[in-house]
Amino acid sequence: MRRIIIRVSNLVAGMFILLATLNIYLSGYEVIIGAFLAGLIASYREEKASISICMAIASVLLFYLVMTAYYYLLNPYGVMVMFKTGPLLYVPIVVSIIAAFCGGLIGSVLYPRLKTGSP
Amino acid sequence: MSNRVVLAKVLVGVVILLLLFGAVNMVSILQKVINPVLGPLGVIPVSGSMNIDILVPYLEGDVIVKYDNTGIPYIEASSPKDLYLVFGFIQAKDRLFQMDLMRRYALGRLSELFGPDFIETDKHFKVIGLHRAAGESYNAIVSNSSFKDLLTYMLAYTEGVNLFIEYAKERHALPPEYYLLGAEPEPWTPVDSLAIGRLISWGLAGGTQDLQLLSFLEANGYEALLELDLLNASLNLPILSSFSVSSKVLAHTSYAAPPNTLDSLKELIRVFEENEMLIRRITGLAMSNNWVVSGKITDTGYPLLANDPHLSLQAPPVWYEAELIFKGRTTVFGVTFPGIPFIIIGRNTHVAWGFTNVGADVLDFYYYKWNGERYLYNGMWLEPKRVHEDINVNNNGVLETIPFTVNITVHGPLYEYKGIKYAMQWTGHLPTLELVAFYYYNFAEDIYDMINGARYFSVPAQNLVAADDKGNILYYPAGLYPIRGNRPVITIGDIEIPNMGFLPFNGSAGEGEWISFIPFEDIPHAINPEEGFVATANNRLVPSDYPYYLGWRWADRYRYERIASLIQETLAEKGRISIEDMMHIQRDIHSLSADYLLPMMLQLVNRASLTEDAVQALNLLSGWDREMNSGQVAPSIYVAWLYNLHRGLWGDEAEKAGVGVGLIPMETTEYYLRMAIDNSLPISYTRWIGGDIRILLANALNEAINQLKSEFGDDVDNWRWGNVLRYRIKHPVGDILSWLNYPEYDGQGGLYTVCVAGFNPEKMPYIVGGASSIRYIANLQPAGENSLWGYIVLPGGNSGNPFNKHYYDQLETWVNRGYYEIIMVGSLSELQDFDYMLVFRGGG
Repeated sequence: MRRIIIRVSNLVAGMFILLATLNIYLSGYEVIIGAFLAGLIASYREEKASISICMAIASVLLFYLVMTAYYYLLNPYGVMVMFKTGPLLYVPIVVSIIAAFCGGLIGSVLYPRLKTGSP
Repeated sequence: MSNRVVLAKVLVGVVILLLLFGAVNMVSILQKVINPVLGPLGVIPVSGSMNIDILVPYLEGDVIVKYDNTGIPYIEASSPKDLYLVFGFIQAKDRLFQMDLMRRYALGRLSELFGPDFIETDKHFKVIGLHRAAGESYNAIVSNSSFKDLLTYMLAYTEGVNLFIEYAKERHALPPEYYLLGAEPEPWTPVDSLAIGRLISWGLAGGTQDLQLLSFLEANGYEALLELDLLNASLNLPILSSFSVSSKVLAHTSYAAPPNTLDSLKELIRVFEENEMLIRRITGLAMSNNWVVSGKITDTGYPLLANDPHLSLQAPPVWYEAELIFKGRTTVFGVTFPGIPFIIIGRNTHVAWGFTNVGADVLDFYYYKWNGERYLYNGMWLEPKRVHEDINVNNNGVLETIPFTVNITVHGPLYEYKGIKYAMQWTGHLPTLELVAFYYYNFAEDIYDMINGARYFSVPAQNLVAADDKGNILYYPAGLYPIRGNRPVITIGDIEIPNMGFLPFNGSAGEGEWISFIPFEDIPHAINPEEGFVATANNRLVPSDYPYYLGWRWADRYRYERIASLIQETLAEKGRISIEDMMHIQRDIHSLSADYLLPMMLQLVNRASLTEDAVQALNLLSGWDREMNSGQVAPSIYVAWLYNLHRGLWGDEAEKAGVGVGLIPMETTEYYLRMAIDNSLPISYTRWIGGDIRILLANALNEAINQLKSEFGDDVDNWRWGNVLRYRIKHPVGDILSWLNYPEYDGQGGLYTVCVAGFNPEKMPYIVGGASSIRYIANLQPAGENSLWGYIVLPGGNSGNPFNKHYYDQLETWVNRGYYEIIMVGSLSELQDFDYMLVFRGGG
C-alpha cells in the first residue's frame, strides 16, 4: 500500500513539474527539460530500470491526459481540432515521452546509488 | 549493477536527450501552437459566464463587447473614439493574420514572410503602388480639417490593433499561423487600412483586360469588335432603361496599335496575370448581385434590400461581421474587410446599403516612343520619375534586401517586361477618400446622407443600392469615371469606332488623356424609381445612347434578368414582395442561361455525330428543369457541354492571342447560336466558327461525356452536380496544413445563376473559387414597429482562429442556403443571449 501511495505521489509530482516548466517559457527546451525532470521525479526510489522508465512515461502521459480533459471541458471544439493537427500534436508528445524515458533511465541508475551511497 | 552498465545507461540517456535538443526548433514552434496552457487556445475565452477585464488607460470610459452564439462581436461605447479603438482590438483578436496577409499583398511585402518565391509578386505590387496611393489618401485626410473626426477614429482603430498585438505577444497568444511561420506581426498603421481598401479596389479594376483585348484583335483581326459583339454587347440588359444628360463630343485621330510584337504582348499579359493570382483569391469573381425594393410593393410598406457580393471563398472568409453600438446615437451592423475600421456593407438603425461592382473602365494603358531611358510626351523627352522600393526577402531566416526601382511617367507607374513598357493610369492612383464615404454611410439617417457620402466614393466604381426607413430607395453607381480626350479611331470597313479606353493609348501622341471625370450628377442613378425596384448584377448601367463611356466588359445578363423577372413574377402573382420572397430570389439556382441556350443547342446539334452515351445525355437534358441543384446529373452535362462549345468556338482565337477564352462573353456564344437557328449568320462571321456549328456542338457534347466518364467513372449517378462542383474552401497555408481548411461540401448553382458558383471550367471537379461571400437581406421597417432587421450568413465563420468554435460554424447553413437573423440592439443590456463578454476598462 505504501509503495502504491509513493508511486502515485511520484506520478503526480512528475506531472506538476512538467506543468510548471511549460508555464515558465514557451520554447522547445522546457518540454524536453520538463519531461526529463518529470521522468526523474516520477521514478524516484525505483530500483528496477523497467519500472523506473514506465513510471516516467506514465507521468508524462498522465499530464497530457489531465490537461486534455481539463481543456476539453473548457473548449471541446479547440481540443478536437488539436487532434486533427497530426504531427503538430504528436511530435511534442513523442519528444516528451522520449525525454521522460531518459529521465527514468537515469533515475534508475541514480536512486539506487543515492540509497546505498555507493560511488 | 556493474559500473559499465551504469555508465552505459547514463550515456544512452544523455545522448538521446542531446538528440532531442536538436529537435527543439520544431518542438518549440509546434508547442506554441497547441500549448493548452498558453498559446492561441489561451485567448479563447470560455463560454457563458467568464468575463475578461482588460485595462486600457487611454479609453475615456468602459467599452463592453459581447459575442453572440455565431461569434459576432457587439461593441458598445459612449465615445466613438473608444468604440473604434476596441473594434481594432477585436478585429485583430479574431483576424490578425488575415489582416497582416492582406496588407502584405498590398504593400508588396510577402517575400519577407514567405521567402524568394514571392519576389516577383512583390515587385508587381510595388509597381502598381497601392501603398503609395494609400499614403496619398492618408495625407489628403490628415490635411483636411473637416475630416478631423474620421482621422481620430482611424487612429483609435490603429491603436486598438496594436494594443492586441502587444497583449497577444505577452501571452504567447498570437494567431497560430505566426508560430507556424516563425514570424511576428509588425505594428499597424492607418495607411495599412487604406492599403487594404486599395487592394480590393485593384482586384475589381479589370487587370489587363485592355491588353488582352488588344492581343485578341491583333491576333484575329479588329473585325472581332463588331463580329463578336464585344463592344455593343447587344444581348446585355441595362440597369436603368434610360438616363439623360447633355451629350459631349470629343476630337479623334486614327488608331495605331502599339509597336510590340504579339508574342511579347502575350508574355507581358501572362506574367501580369500570374502575379495577380493572389489578389484574385480575394476578389474571386469580382461580381455581385444587389437589389432594392420600394415599400410601395412590399408587404410591410417599407423597403427591402438584398446584396450578395461574389468574392472568393476562403478560410477565414473575406468579410468580418460586427455590430457597433454608439450609445445614444445609432447602431451599425454589417461586414467589413479585416483591417478597415468602418462597416462596408450593412445597415444602421435607419438606412441599409449594399454594393455590386460596376466593372467600369477606370484603368488605361499607355505606350510611348523611347529614346534610351527617356520617353516622348507632349513634344518633349522626359525621364520617368524613379522611386526606390527595396524588397526584403526571407532567405531561411535571414532577411536580405533586393534593390528595386519603379519608374513612373506622367500617366502612372510603368509596367515593364522584357523590353515591353506600358504605363498604367488608374483612378485608384489618385488620393481618393472612400473611407470618408463609408463614414457617412455608417452614420447616415436617410438616402440623402448616402448621396452626400457617395460624392466621396471614387474607386472602385460600385453600384450602390440603399434604402431608408422613411421609405426611400436609391441607386447610385458612385465612382470616378474618366473622360478621355483625343481618342483615336479604329476603322473597320466604313465603320469608325473610337477607342474610348478599351485599348491602350499612344501616350507620346497625347492620346487618351484624362480631361476630367463624369460629373457626379450625370452618373446614371435613380431615386424612388417608378418601377418600384432596382436590381444590379454587373450588367451594363444604361442603354448605348448614354453619351459618356463607362466601360465595355459587362457580366452576362442572366443573373440580372433572372432577378428582375423573379421580382416581376412575384408581383404579378402576389401583388407584394415579402422578405421570404427576397430570400427565395437570393437562393435561386435556376439557370436562365440554360433556358436560352439549351433549346438552341438541342435543336442544332448534329445527332448523327453523337456517341450512344451522348444521345442518352440529350434525353436527360431535354427533361431537365434547369435547376442547378446538387442532386441532378443534367447540370454537369450542360455545363461541360456549354464550356466545350464556347471553347470550341473561340478557343483557337484565344490561344492565338495568349488569352483565356473567358474574354469572350457567353452572350457572344448565344448571339451566334441565335443566328444559326435563324439561318442569319453572315458569311464573314462564319470564319470564327471554323466549321459547321452543328458538328461543333456534337463534338463538344461527346467530349463532355468523355470528360465526365474519365473523371467520375461510367456510373452516371456519380456525375451528379454536387459531385462535380465542390466547395473546397482553403486557408492561405492550407495546402501545407490541411487541418486549417474547411470541410468539403457538394456545390450548387452555377456561373450564371443568382445564387452563383464561380469556377474554372477547364478542370474537373470544378472547385468553386468565388460565390456569395455573404448573403444579406435588410428590412427597413422603422425600429419600434420592427422586430426583424434582416438576415445574413457567411461562408465560414467569424473567427480566424482555427481552435475557435466559430471558425466555420456558419458554413453548413450557408451551403444549405440558410440564414441567421440579424439582431440589432440599442443597448447591450438588451442582448441577453450571448457566449461571453469582454470588458475594456478605461483609465478615465
